[in-house]
Amino acid sequence: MATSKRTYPNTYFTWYNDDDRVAILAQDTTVSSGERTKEKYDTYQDADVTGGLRITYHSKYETIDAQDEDLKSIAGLDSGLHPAVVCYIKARMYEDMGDLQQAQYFRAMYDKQVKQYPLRKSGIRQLAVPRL
Amino acid sequence: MTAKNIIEQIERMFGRQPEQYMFQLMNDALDDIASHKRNYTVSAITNLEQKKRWYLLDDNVIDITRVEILDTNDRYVMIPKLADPHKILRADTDEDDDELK
Repeated sequence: MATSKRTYPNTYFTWYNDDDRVAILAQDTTVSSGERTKEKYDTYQDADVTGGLRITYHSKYETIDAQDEDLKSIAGLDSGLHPAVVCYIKARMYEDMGDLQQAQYFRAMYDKQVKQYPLRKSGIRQLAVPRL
Repeated sequence: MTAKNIIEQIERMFGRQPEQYMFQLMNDALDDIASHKRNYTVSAITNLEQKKRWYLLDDNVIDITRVEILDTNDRYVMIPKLADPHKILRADTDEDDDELK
């Protein structure tokens, strides 16, 4: 009996994506299929697997629609960025009121807070160059 | 900080504001921050289906960081990303029951 492709998924499976879909491919291990084109990968042909695919992704934040919802626990926004939300709202409101000078001020504050806030908690943030 | 805390800060400066308008601005802010900072990581599980190549991504997805397949020991194993998908000749399976044929 042939080895199930799911015994060694990282050997047999691969993926790629376009703008709004992800494609899951498995190695085509059939010897003679009568197909006109021979390719290394084809669509997965074995049985369905419940919960068989897990996709991890960077997501937009969850939406807020009640006053008691917390921006950290419900929306997923780091607490250090909560003041930036206040600045953004102020900028938008001043824009709506036609006060572009104040709007620009709060927009600049918002941009600064978002740009400077360190979110990466893993990996090297900058190269350590040895002094020669 | 809760939504109420933020609304209080805004209302202190601008006076009473419609609640829905506040939520709308708050969600706009969250979307704008998400477009600059990619730190909210989420995993979604779906069924691996026979003869199905394309799986629709949720509207919230910004970029995919890893894809895993449930192996025969019931553990998720990361699979590699195909470096040259443009060389794949067939965009889908050749089965009749596939609507994307």
